[in-house]
Amino acid sequence: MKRIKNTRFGAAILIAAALLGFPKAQAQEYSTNAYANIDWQFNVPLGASFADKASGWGMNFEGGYYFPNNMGIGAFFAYHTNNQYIPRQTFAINQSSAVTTDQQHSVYQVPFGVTGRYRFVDGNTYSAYVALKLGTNYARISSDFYILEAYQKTWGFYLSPEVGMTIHPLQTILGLHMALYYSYATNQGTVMTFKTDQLNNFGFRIGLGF
Amino acid sequence: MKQLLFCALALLSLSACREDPDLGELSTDFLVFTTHDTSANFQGFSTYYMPDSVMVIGDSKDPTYWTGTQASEILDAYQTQMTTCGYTRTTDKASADLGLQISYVQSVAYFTNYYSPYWWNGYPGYWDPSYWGPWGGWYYPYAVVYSYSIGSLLTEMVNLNSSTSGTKKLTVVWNSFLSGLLSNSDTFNTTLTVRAIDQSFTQSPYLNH
Repeated sequence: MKRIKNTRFGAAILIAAALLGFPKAQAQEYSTNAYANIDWQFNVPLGASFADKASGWGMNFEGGYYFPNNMGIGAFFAYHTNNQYIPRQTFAINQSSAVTTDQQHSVYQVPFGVTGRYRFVDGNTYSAYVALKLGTNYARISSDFYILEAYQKTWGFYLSPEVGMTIHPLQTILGLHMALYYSYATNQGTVMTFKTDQLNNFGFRIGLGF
Repeated sequence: MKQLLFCALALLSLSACREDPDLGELSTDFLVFTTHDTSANFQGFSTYYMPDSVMVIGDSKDPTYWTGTQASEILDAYQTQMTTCGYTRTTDKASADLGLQISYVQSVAYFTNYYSPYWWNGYPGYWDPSYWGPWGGWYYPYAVVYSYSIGSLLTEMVNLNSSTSGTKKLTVVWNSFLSGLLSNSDTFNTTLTVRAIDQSFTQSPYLNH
């Protein structure tokens, strides 16, 4: 865990250094209709989720192209993990068996698919858009307890509206990207006696916009 | 372009993909697993026999046992719970309705999934049906799936009224598997074990008279 945090801190330093050190000589290069985003994301599960603890253990990758009418199309790929500690409890596994233990529930989601965008602000240093993502959501739902893990891999339909903006404060192709999103997926699964029916989330993304 | 690549690689380095949950947050209390024969009429049993020792499953072919004070706290815990459930301990094995066999896994770890054949056949040092009487095998009326990890306490309740004719199999009507993250061959936490024994009866209300 400590190693991962250190790695992330180091990566953040590298990104900041890259942003500050980016040459202004490339100021004209960013006015392109192609776009790409690489974001860190913070995800909050909604409703009776299998693992409902909000977390920042996720990333989003996206790229696409804006047509002259500011409509855009692209592709995306993201992943995120949400965990939740379940205190010690007794539950039936079947008609004849019961177990008492505490658990760590985990939902690991990997949505991917296509994005439709509309850019309603397109300035020199600032652009804003609304988007709708459609695709497939892979979700691994698991429970760790004792020295064991029970899990199920599930697939579902994915839908996610999003609003975001990209700022180019340094007048370069490299900008700061921010977005708010909601996502819905039809994944269903059962791990031991714990059922998951649909995954609802909202969250925000911060990263680089090109 | 180099900077772009630099940034992309830096961001990608953030991605550890799946973040494992913090298993260190899990309790040190034992996992308590119980299963039973749903067709058994536990109210029809009144007496039970329990040896004065705990079998220790180890690497040796010959069985070893905990006796005396080493086993007494475990055996006392079982006796207390069985009494609370309404059963009477007897020293006459031949006349008892039920038998309790308690085993501690000290140095052998393996996973088993019982359906067939009988996984314990040939396992060195395990309880033998003949210990209880003229039976030639075990019968589990349920699937037994559990991890035999070091430091586990396994308890089986056998029906000594099982038929000795025909297949001559001794029915195991209840069993429990108790194990904790702190368990290992060098440490035996009696407090956690007794607490787990109590829990195994708490989550088995069908044993009560």
